[in-house]
Amino acid sequence: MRSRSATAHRRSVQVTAVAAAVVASLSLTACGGGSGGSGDSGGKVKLSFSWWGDASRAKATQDAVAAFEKANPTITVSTQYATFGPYNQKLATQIAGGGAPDLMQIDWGNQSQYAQSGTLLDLATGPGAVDISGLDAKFAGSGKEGAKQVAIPFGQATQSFVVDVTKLEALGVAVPKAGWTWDDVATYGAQVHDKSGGKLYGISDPGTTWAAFQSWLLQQGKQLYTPEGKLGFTKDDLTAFWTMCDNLRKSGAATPANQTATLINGPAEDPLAKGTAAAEWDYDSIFASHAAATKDKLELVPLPTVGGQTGMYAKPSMLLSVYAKSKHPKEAAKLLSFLVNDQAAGAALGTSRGLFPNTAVRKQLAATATGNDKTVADFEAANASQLAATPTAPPKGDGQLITLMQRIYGGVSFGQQSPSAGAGSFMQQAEQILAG
Amino acid sequence: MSARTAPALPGGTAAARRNPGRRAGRTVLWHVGVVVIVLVVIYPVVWMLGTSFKPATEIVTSNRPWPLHWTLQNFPDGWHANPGVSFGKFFVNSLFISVLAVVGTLLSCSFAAYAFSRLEFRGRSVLFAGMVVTILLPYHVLIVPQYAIFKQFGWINTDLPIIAPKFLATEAFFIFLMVQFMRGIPREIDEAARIDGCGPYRTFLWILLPLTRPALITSAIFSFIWTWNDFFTQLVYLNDTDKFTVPIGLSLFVDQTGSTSYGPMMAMSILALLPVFLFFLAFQRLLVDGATSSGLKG
Repeated sequence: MRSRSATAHRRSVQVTAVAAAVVASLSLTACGGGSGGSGDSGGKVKLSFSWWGDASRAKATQDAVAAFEKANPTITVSTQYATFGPYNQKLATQIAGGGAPDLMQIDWGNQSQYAQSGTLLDLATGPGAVDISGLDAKFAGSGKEGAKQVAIPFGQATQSFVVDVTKLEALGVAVPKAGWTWDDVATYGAQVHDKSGGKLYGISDPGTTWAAFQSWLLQQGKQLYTPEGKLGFTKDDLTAFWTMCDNLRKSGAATPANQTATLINGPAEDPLAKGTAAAEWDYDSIFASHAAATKDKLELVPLPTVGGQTGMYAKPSMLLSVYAKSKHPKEAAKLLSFLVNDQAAGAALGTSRGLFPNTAVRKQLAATATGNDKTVADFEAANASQLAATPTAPPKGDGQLITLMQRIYGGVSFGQQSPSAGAGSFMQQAEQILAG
Repeated sequence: MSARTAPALPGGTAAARRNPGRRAGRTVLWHVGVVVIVLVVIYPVVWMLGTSFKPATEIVTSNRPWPLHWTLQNFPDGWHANPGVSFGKFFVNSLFISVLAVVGTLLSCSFAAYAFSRLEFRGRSVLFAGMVVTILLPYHVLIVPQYAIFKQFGWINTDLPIIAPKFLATEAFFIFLMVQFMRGIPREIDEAARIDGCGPYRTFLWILLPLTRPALITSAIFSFIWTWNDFFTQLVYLNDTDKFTVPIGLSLFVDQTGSTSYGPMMAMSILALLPVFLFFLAFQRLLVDGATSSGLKG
């Protein structure tokens, strides 16, 4: 009995020691941390700024922020970043919990939703006023929600076809030229398919891509959404688009269903990267990623036209907004203005987000651009005059419609549904999503 | 293991005794079946291992799990993929969080389980039911109010929102596991301890805790793996890159709008698996040991 009680004593001493160590380490962590949020420290204003993107964009952005801190010694900026999907989940949590960063990069698809919940500060007037006179007015208008300027575009992207020139030259098929039509797409695609002995398809099937459908609508003077946020097209429009894609696919001009499904994997492993499609609908801002995924020479070609219209427009690849509850709206707006207007910011950011917002700086950058950047800059310069007006920001639910399009067109392309039956169920579900 | 299990196959024992050749045939068949299943299960891991040694151009274009041209470049590339901070920092952060989470879970959940399984107090059954119900709450329901509370505390961008709850027995699953285990231990042992002069604390420390060892080890293993692999909590609460953990570091390789660097990602994933694998290896022995030696033989 005596020996047992001695053991017990030793054990309880051990437990106490462990508990003490735990408490000590916890309080250490507490001391070490505490740098979250924004606050004044020693006369300095501390801002937080968040964005999504990969490591190379993080490096470019941190360089731009460093240039800002150098020019504004009284402001320090803590940066945070994640990749696109997790970033938006985190931002939604931060906004709901009242702890969003002072300056945040937002996706155009979320703009309406955040603006309606009062999360975004008005950047036209008041403490958060930002000078956007250096931006193209139509393009800057993409950040408007009613009368309020809730966001400023932080990079411009334009719709295009990314074309694999090496493969086309090897087959002896002419590279498509500006002004081509959808009939030309069919002829070109059939040529590629025939001359390659069926190994290569002309284009990746665009029927699964919501934004490709949008440019097809714009070519005919129609809109994806009404300004009220309802669907701007009819079932017949969608049926016509899918029937066209259906025919392209059946003739071998466009990729078959199982390859089209890999489009969602992104530029690193889509049909263009795998060498099974010779061209692919995408934004020109993604060009560098496409180029990195293949050894072939790639080129940008304007979209096929309907009645001379390409339906291409200046799309904000992403936007910047100031948090409405920010303690330092003035400084946050200053950082925002620097990031979209200043030459030093332009030099640091390069084309990591698409074309630089400020037009004067954009021209300077284009003059010295090389490699992929030059391809994109030249493409934009050649098409700038023909761009359609930038549509209003997509309504809440846009993200769900993107996946709905992929799902239903997946069924159509695998032959489970006719284009018109698919369009019917799309309209029904899309209207429910937008109403809810 | 399989050799011992083989005779238990339906109709195996009697037939096998009569015909040893047939028995050997069955054993071979059984082994072939098991090996095939193992190959299917292990294929993704082999692919991951192979991909971590592949050059970037080979990853998407080739389907074979092993590289044509071997390269070690993915490891340094992945280790230094993020500007200003190496993957080693992420490993240190993850280990710190995971080890404290294990300590916290074991301490707090065993206390709570002891109370629920042995002590008589008012409202015990209601509280127990309430605790079990929290297992059913999806995490995404809790995250927003939790975030708001931790923001009030000024704990955002620290490890506290991840570690502190573990010390407050919020992991209802582990409490439930331990309660069920403790309920299986005869009360006579407690009573004997009480006759020998133990109070509730001593009974817990001397009698119940040692007997609950298998449940504690199970909890330790799962608590470690779950915290090590937990992505969302760490993503939401940690802002600075030098506070990031391994799961966040891995997620930075996958960029839908840019290029995904699979080679470095797989290389770092292999490294990320190692601690979990070693932890399991170390504790699995104890788990089996605990299950066989703690039996109440009377």
